[in-house]
Amino acid sequence: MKDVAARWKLVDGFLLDGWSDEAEVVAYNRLSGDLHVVPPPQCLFLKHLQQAPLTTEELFKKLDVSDGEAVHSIVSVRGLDSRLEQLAGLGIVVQSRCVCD
Amino acid sequence: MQVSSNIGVVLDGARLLYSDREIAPPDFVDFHIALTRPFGLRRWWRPQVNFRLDGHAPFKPLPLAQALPMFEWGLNWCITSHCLDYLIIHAAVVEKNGQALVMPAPPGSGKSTLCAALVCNGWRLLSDELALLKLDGSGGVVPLARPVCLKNESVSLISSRFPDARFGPLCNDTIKGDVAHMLAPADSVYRVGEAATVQAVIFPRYIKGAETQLWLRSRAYTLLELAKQSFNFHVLGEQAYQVLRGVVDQSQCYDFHYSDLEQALQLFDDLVEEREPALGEGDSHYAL
Amino acid sequence: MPYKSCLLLEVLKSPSLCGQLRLPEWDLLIRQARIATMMGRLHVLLEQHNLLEKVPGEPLKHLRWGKIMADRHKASVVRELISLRDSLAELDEPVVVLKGAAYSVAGLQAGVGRLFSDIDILVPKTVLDGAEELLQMDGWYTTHLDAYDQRYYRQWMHELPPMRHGKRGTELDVHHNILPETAVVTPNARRLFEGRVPLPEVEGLWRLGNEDLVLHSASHLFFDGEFTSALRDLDDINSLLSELYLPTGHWFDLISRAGQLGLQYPLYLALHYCREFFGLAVPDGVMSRARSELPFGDTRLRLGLWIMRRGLMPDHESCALRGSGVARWMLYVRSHYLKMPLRLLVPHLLHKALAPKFEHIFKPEDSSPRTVDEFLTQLGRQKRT
Repeated sequence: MKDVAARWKLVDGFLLDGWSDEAEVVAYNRLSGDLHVVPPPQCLFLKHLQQAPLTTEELFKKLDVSDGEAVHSIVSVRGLDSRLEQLAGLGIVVQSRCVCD
Repeated sequence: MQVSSNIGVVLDGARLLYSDREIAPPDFVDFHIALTRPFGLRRWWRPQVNFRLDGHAPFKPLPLAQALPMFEWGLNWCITSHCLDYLIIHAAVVEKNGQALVMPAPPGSGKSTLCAALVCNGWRLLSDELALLKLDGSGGVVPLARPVCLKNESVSLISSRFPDARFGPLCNDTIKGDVAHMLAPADSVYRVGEAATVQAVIFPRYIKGAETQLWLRSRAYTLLELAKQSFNFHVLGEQAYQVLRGVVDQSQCYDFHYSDLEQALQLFDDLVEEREPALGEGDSHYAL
Repeated sequence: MPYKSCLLLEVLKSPSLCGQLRLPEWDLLIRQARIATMMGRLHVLLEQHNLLEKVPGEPLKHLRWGKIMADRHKASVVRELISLRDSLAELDEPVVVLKGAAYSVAGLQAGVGRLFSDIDILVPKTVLDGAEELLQMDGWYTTHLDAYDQRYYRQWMHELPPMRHGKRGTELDVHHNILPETAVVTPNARRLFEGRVPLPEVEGLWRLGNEDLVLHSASHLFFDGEFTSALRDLDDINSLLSELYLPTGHWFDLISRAGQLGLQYPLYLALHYCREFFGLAVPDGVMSRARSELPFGDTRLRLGLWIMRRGLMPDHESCALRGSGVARWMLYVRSHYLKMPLRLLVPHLLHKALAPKFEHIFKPEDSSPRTVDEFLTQLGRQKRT
């Protein structure tokens, strides 16, 4: 059975850089030259999305099991969705419908 | 660089400000610039000066009194808008004991005053305005050793504290006061071919009455701010990003607030003489 | 002086000259290339002729900077075109990329090492408003807010007022024809769309067919422009002709297409100057046929050639010929006269001549920098665009 769900992914060309003693990460797009500093908890979303495209629900579940204080401020799927929308507004993530098994 | 001008103060000023420079052979010149007074009405009524590169004027004319500052800004423009051998950041760079400090700062932060005081106090001047970061991944920064542009009370502050400092003519700036250029120390000019390695990125800020304080600063935000203050980050693409990543990796990053110049000089010396500088508690407020 | 007029032109014509240049001549060549915005182009040319190793270090540095800049422009153009295609997909009408961006993305020699000041696209006039709306939704805004300019563009020109992207700063011209409808000649835009060819690098976008590509380039240079980078534009045409017509010899296709679109004069001028300036091997038979298509006599043609030659040289004192200043002014007036009938032209030039002076009285002092701070802020603004 195939489902078509809107999944979030990193915009093409973005690389994430961070330092072990710092919470935030740098997101640099090697194609467009766009550069952002992404503070927690949003930078945790990006790290998950870097692994694989996820729906908001899937990402929400992943955040549940991952640690980090900043994640505690995300209490609902809707709250997560609005934060993802902010990242989309900056051109860092994009929502696309992909067919998955 | 070849300069032609029909304004005496520009030619004399350029000769004085660059008196320690070697004269380049005239066969090939990177930029042919001219500072000239326009003909016609404007020659006499509120006289003006034009900056031209090869006959084309990238800026609007300025009042004649600012001919010499315009010459200096024009030189900066030639470098920042053409040179792609370096990642160019709007920042002062000084060096002591082989350790270079890069100080990016928005105008009005007291960066030039601090830079002038440091170079009068034994630091080598690499640049007052433009940090030229090497692209080869070495984390090196290349000197320009050009004059330091000082404004208003900074001129008298530096010239009274360091009587040996040599200055070009004082130019009246109609809106914000006076501008004068402090010559680069002869030793800095002599060593202009000698690159240095960036050891620290410091964001200085003069705040009236503030305590002298240094805070560690986030590397991520430092990288972002360096990119914002860069003239050619976008043109150089990923190479530029990797340069900044390297510089931020190898450097200590600080925010620095001061009002007392003597304390500031002492703290900077401590930084490079392996004495632990006193760090402020908590985070500073990023001016983003 | 071994070169009487323009060293850049001599080098474009015979790149091997570079092997013999001494430093003072390199100095002049670099200055001329900078004025003509052809630094990257020159780098590419010397690279193709394996001549880079003969270039001394000082001038080579400038050529290399020009090439880096051109590479960056190329990369941005591809990204911009992809985003334009996506923005305009809903129109469901062909979007044809014009000029430099098209050469570059079509993989034509004329696009290699070239800089772009803006992107030009052609859409059918019937969907012009729709295109503008879609572009506005994706962050493009119109730059000429002055009511007179708005009316001027919308009523008389072959394009929307120029647009700029709010975030990326890219400039965009959306055309519905390659010359204004008020011009002495107006090609039939439908025919242009019929001959379109897909762009290999950006699927879903088009370029003009070979003949129209050359004819547009020629009519833009000789009818439309103010000759600001005329030598670069002529070099484009020379490059297109060398690549598309020299090997096939299909010159007469070009001449008959010019006849269909009414663009015989710009074609004649293009062939004439590519032959004269670059030594392009246009056969004599082609030249006389192109000449025979022109509806006027030798005297008028000679005057036209005298003026154009001066306009084509880079605007640098070392390239100026006798009468260059007058010729440039005549070209400026002419470019307008060709675009609109006299009853429109006189009011337009008067408005352009007077408006800035009156505005000055009411507006505060110009925005020229007064201090180091202001200067650097202006630089900052420049570097972002």
